[in-house]
Amino acid sequence: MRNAKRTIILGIIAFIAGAGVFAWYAAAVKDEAVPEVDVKFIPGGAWLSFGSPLRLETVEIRSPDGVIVSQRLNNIEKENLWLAFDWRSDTTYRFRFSSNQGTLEIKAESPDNDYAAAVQFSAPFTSIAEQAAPGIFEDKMEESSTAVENNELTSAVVVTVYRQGETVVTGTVSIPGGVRVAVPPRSAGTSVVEGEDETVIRFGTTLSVAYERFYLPFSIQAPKTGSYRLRAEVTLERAGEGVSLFSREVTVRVVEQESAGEAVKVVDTAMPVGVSGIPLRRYAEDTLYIQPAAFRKLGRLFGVEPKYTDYRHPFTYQSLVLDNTGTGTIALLVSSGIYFMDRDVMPEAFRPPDILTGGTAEAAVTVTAVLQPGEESTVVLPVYLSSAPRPGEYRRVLRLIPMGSAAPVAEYEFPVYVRSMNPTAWGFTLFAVFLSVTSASVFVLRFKRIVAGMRVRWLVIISLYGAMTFVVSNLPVRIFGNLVSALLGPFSAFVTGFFSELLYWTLLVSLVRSIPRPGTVTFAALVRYMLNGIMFGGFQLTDILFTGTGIVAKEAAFYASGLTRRGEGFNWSTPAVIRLALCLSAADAFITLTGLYLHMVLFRLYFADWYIYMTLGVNSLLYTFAATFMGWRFSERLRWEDG
Amino acid sequence: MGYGISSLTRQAGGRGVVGRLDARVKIIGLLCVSVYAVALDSAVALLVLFAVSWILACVERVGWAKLRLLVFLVGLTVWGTMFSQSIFYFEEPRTVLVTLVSPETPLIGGWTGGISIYREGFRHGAVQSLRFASMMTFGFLFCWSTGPGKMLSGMLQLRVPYVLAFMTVTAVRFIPAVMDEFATVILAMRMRGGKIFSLNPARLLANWLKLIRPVFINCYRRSNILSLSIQSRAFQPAAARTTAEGGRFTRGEKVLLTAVLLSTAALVLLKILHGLYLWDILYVSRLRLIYEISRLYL
Repeated sequence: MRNAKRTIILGIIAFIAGAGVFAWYAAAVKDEAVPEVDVKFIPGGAWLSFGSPLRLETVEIRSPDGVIVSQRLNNIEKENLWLAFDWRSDTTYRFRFSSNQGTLEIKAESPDNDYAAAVQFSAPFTSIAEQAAPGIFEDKMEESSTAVENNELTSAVVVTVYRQGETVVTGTVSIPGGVRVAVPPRSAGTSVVEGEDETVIRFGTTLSVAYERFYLPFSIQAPKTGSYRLRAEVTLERAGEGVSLFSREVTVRVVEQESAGEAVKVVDTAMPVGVSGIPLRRYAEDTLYIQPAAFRKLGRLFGVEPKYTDYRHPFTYQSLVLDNTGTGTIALLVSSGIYFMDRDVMPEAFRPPDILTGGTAEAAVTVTAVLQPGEESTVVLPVYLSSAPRPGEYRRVLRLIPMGSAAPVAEYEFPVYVRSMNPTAWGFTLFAVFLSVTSASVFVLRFKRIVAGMRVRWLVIISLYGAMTFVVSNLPVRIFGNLVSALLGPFSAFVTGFFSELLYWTLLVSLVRSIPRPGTVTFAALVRYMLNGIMFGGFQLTDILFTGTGIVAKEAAFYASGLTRRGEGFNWSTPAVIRLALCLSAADAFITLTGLYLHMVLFRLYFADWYIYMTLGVNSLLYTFAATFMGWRFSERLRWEDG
Repeated sequence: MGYGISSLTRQAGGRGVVGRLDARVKIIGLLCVSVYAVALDSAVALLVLFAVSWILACVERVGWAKLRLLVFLVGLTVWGTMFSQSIFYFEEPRTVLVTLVSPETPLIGGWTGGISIYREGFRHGAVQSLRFASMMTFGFLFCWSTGPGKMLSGMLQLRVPYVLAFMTVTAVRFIPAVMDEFATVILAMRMRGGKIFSLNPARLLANWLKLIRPVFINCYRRSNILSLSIQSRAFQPAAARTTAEGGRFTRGEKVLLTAVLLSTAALVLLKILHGLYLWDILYVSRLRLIYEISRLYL
């Protein structure tokens, strides 16, 4: 007993000690893992720089007034994070991050006065919309980039002033020998002085309004590989504030085309993704599901779809994660197009909208990407769809083109699967299911009444018709149909239609003339179905659907023509028989159409529209029309036999 | 029953596993198999279904002659489907093997948009034909392992109306008579130098009408006699009648039936859920595993 107590106490102590060690270790690890964060306030927001890349989940900024930014970042790995918000001077802001390495909250105080100006020297320069680097407010800044030999590299000096009042901007851009100015700057007040050792671009302007910008774009070209240092010196002079000097250096490493391709790698790609590049996991990878127009109309009706289809709005997005393994910044054009699998032609449906013409253009969608050395960045491209493409497999081609180059440094291909549904075929199938269920229900509910009205002689005659149609129609189709189908393929339907349509309808018309009452066709069809099941094992789901639909359509046609409605009172004149033939042809057209669509939906087969029309024309209209008249003549002999 | 169709439809003795099963189990099983044949999408799954049908057909010991006939019919079905789909294949990519009608052909070319034979259509047709082939093999296996009497009694036990069963039996009994009549009339036509088949459709139709008319008239007379005979025995189609209790299922049959019904219900449920997800009607993130299973394996 005493030993047991001691064991329990020791166990509890061991547990508490273990838990303590674990908690200490976990806390220590967490503390160790939380990286340092540097906050840099610049006009329009703040740059946050982490000591090491972090997978950020959420970020929140609190001002003394409350939360001003709350953003979900979905575990995207970041080393620098740009947060856009309108900060006030001399105010304490709290930044709260949750990441894969824990949660961190830091305080940072905004500067007591705004920055006077920002000077950016970019080579390559991609876009004015590009986010500026955090160092553009510093006096000195050094960067590096990669360019491809012989390619034109667009560069630019961008000066922004943030204070109201006149600022005189003067400066030079020194370009070392070996690098040619391919396209000189065209701004007023600029000059290019070419020397042996270097080329100097001189510029000067006056800015007078806060947030006014001066752009000095130009292109350079390096015919040989090597490392070239480009330098920009900018002087800002404001009345009463003295002179500010800014120095910028960009080391451009010019490499061969192949080397540039090796530096940039596609780490991952996904489609479909959301607008921010997050994969839409509910959809299968690389697959586009094209919904039928009816679904979109329903969506519009319920207000979950836009009222009008806007083909300029992307259907979905694709993303690719690029990794710059090189030592310099590289600017790329990332282009993507969806092409036919077997040829380099873009299907009409995948052509992006053309703003110039208002239509579509057979061109790839292109976006720019600037990758810092060692940076892994996600690029998101839209996927446009102007009409429903044919289902199947396509190629998604991604090309990475260095700025200033026409030739891609890397090209990747991924499959795109397009899935769609045939709403007409599905409509007919669902209607066939409905008709079959309805006819079965009516048959079950009214069975006693239907049977009570049937004489034994009629039942025996219907059985005889069942046997006869089985021998004349089912058996030849079953035995020879396969052979004819193997020889003639889809066109065998016109040969087998002789048995399955012409002879069948001839016999059916003569049967209904003998027993002109509702239910005759139902029993005849059911006997035929049962015989088919017993002889060939045809107790199949599809047979039930065919039979159910057939019963409803045929009974309706005979009733509408007046034959089973008027019974013996039906006038067998030529106009009445033409009316009967038209009704039966329409019924057979419906049954044939349902049969074809059932094959399309249940057996995933394809039939061309012209084939469907041809089958309807020959089998349903021609054969059935002729069969009605033949059945009329045929039944004359039976009536004579009946005496 | 003679004239060649007996070899196609006659029971082979039911010596195998399937033959010993209750007819009701087989009818329900056949319906479930047809659900499988239309619900499955994966080529591997369809191949498995087809393989199962053939394993059962081989195990059933229906005889070489029947198996050869089945191979022939399945082969024709597969080829026929491949042929038709090679023309109508609609998906991308499509590799044209032969152009039958060029889109530039006057009238027909414009109407059809051109008719070609596509290589990928053969493959698509081959995969999809497995549905027909499986259903056909299971269907014939059912026929060859079950006598007509057992089938009808099975259907009666499954609550098929008695009148319908009576009419079916009557029709089954009529078939040999109809065949006999056909044989006699064909013989008479041949002796007079007539032909049944002709490449001229109008003549073919006329020949067949000549053939059918006497056969039908004779059978019609027989049916009148038969109906009088039945009526004289006071048969009433609507009269209430007692039915024999169906034989009880064995434990094995119960297990098999339960497994088949449950698996079919599960398949249908999975496919419906997947279909609803696919067309953006219902998406439940917890069911992602089900969607994946349905997409990859079914």
